[in-house]
Amino acid sequence: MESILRPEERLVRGLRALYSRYGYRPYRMSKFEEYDLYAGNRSFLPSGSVITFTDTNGRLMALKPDVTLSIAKNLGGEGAAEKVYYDESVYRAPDSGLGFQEITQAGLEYLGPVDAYVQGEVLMLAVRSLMEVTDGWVLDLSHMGFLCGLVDELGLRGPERAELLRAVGGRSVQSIRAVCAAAGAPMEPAERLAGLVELYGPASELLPGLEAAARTEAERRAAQELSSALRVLEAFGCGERVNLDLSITCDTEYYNGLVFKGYVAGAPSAVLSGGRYDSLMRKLGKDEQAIGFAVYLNLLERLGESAEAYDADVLLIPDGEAPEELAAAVRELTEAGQSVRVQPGTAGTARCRRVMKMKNGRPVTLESDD
Amino acid sequence: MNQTIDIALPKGRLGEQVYEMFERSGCGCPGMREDSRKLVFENSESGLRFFWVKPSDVAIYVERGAADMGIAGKDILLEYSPDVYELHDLGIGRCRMCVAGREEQWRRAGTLRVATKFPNIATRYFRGQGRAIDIIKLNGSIELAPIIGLSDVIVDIVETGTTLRENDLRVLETILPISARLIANKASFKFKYEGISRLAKLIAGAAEGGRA
Repeated sequence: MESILRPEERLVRGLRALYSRYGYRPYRMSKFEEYDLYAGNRSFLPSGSVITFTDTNGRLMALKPDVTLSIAKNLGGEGAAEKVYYDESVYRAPDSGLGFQEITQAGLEYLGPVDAYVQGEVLMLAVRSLMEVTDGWVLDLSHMGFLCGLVDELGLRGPERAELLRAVGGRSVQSIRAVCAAAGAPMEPAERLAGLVELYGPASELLPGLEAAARTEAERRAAQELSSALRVLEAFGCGERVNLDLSITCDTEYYNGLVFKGYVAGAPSAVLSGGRYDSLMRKLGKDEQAIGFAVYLNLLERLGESAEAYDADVLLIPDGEAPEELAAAVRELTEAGQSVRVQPGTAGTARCRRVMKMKNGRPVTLESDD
Repeated sequence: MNQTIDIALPKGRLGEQVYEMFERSGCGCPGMREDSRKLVFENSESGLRFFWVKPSDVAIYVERGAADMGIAGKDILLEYSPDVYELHDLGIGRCRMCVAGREEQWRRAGTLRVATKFPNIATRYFRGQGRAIDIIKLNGSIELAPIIGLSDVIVDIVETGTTLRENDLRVLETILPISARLIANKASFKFKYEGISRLAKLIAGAAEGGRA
């Protein structure tokens, strides 16, 4: 069973089992959603384009470009906490030049009161999701409390604010200074922002210093929240390889607290992304707090790709014998646990561990990779 | 350094200037300066592997993780917005992204026809000004466009302005200054942090030294 699953199917199976162990329930959703939801929250989407069509009743619908937005809209609002996980395809155009793509993602969402345990548990599940992918992983943490406070203090708006956030996301200390200087912003918060963006290292080593250096109430709260979540993560035995990276930027209109990204060796960009999105819930008219993450399965397609993959263990070439004789030979091989591909002539493009040919009613090995 | 760091260098004068910085930092690679058809150069002692690529492709190599680090002009970074870390402004390859052309065409009312290799930068700039434009994407000889009436103005990088002057064109507005940046792949930065940050410091030091 395990051997016929593709790596991404094995991974999804592992993730489902992992999330179920912590009381998350599967959530299936329709592929379509009314377009209005996305039109009102365009900047929540990683890229703006959405595939739309008119439904049979005249409503403008969209092929889902995002899962979190749908869950946030459709669940919650009833007081009790919701814990759901999903694996779904979404459709968007990450690069306008390449058109729309099907992006497969798995993840979980928690809607309800968020405390230190909940944040720690979600982080632990993010870490274990990365472990399901590979042994070489890193989880980076940040908190929007630092970024929002300093960016607001700098007083930048519109394109200047967007440019500043680009510089923060690019870890470009010189650009942060240049944007602030050009906009006539106060240089003291600009220097503090540059200093925070430059920080990178194990969260357990950097957080005490960050907490001690916090200057505003929001920064103190942010540092304490990160520390408490990390303590829970450590109690789960997952505190290693968790780094602090305050250059992680998310849309401040939707994300308001802990944010994180996961990387695995061999993938060129973050394969896991998540955070606290109470602000999105408020925008949708709900009081709940919320946190969740997604694993981008399409980015993992090339990981662990085996050059030695075979279509079948045995390629069996018939030689004019009776079909019953051929069937008996195939049965014998399959009952011995071998997969068999019967194909007249030559192997062609088929990749098989062993090539056999029928001779006098019996399969004879012609060549073998073993 | 125990992990090899792959570095994409831009072919041409800028790449050679940058490679000098690596040499000054003690991170050179034998054979790099020899005229050969070899594409990849490795210094196993320092754990560095260099390759020369077309300047406009450096950011793609780095964003896609084929190179851990690279050197790209700010013009390319602004045009393509690759998801990379911009670790240092090396202060070389300095020039300006400008609107250039003839005054009378620039002042005319109506939709402005803009010829450029940088449609995203030009669109952002004119949108910020609320001006209606028609972008004409070209791949070279941009200065020719306003001379023969293909466009009203151009958006292009200007180093000394000699080509513009010789063709009776002038800089009408400066959009932003450009220089070469040391960039890094985001995932590589996490997994090769020690090596990449050490190298970035060395190169930043060599860049400052070169300027002093």
